[in-house]
Amino acid sequence: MEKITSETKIGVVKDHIPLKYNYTAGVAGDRFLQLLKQGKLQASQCTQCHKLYLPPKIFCKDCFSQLNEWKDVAEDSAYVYSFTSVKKEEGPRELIALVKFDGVEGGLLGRLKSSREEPRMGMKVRPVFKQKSERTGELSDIEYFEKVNY
Amino acid sequence: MPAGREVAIVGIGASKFDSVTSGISYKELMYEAAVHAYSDAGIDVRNDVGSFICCAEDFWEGNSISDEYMPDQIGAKLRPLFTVCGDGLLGLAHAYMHVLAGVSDLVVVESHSKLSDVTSKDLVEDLGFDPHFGRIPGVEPKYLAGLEMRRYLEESGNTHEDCASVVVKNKRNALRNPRAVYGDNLSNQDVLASEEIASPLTKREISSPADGSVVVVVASAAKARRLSGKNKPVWVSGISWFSDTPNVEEMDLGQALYASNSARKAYEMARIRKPLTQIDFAEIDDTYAYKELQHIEALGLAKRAGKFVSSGKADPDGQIPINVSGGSLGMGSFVEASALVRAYESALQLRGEAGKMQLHNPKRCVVQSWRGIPTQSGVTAVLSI
Ligand SMILES: [Zn+2]
Repeated sequence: MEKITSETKIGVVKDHIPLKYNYTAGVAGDRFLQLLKQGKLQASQCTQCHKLYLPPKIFCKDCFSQLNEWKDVAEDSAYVYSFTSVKKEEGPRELIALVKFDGVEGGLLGRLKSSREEPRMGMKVRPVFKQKSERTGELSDIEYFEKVNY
Repeated sequence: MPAGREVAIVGIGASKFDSVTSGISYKELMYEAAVHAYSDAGIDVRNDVGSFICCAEDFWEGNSISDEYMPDQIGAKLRPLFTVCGDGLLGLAHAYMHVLAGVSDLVVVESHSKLSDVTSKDLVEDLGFDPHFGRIPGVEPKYLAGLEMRRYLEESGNTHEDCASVVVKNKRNALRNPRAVYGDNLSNQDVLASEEIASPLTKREISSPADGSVVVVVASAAKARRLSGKNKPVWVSGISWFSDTPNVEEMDLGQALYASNSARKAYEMARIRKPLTQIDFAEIDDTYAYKELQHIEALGLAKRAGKFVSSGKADPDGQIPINVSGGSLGMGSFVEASALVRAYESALQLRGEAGKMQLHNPKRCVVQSWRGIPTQSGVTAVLSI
């Protein structure tokens, strides 16, 4: 077969896809976000295998049970599971962390408040919520996580 | 029938691979690859093939119902065709099943990339994240690769320097591959000093986009025997695929469980007990440099992948050559087609047609894929001659 080559400049159609969605958070997500707006963190619990899910789900991925129990997440058990300093198109770099909580399956992604001290893996942190009036029932209601010395 | 010799790759074809294939549409890339593959297999596509499988993802195609645009350029008009929203190696898994299920004794698998058409690659990656908990507005989607890399290095004891040796090795290997466009002679320092995208991940540890299409023709053992023209069949001796959770918060970022699980199953099918002695080479996912290390360990090719690579054991003349083709770091990332490129390069090696890259008489290899962030999904296949 002859090699396909392009001798002349061929036109390119420039287009974009302006799509809009309303993503439903679902039963568990909605309840979690309502509570988050009040400054509270709750996980759903599997009564079969005792796993706590954060963000909450109404199903257990391990034993496939339906989850109806809810439990407060101990905010003082939060620690940095991993972190990264991310380049942004504009403005200064940002520190992003995956924060986990002792005994909880999952965790929360969020910004890490930068300080002069380098973050460490396993570093204890706590969530700092936005002012009540500024909360919107989204994950960003947690403004950032900051280092604590317990 | 002997185990691991029931389904074979009997033809392979590729379009040209390039960072930008200007003026050529994805359909024309597919046609070019298909023509090569059918001629390689010695088949008449319009009469011989009973099933076609494409692997593509709408967002990368820039078209909804993108599967509807696949038939004509691979000879599948009014033939059984379906598109797998997954990577090319998953397409090979489907072809394997079609043959064994008796759907057809001759099946075609295609996957391609026209990434140079996608001007918002970051946005497509970002839209892969969970809308409520995974998307972080204004933040580069590779944040997850940064998080995973740091966690993996912490748990495995491998170092950033080890990741740099992966880049150096694969880009050096690519210099001997006429199809690779990202070959280079770099030092570890060149890699480590490149711009930090999502720390500790640097720019040179990230595979760059490439365009191209690969077509693979798969046949039953009986059909392969009847065809046996110029090519020896490359047997699909084992193939398996796994998905872990899609929730970033719940992912085990320290290890690639999709790879270790699919490898266990694929090895079992291929009767491989000691991969270190039974595998001659590997073509595996290296979308990011640390992923090659993580995958080497998951595939049981080394306990400490960092030391394995940095000491030269993964070099073309090492104990188990890994990504002799240059991998995605050396050849480019073809998104859903990356793993089919790995399979293509592997088949050439097994058939003894790898030119300057040819290893000495390889009999068996492992090919492995990862679907990229934010997934924990992948396929492992064992190919043998
Ligand atoms: Zn459970």
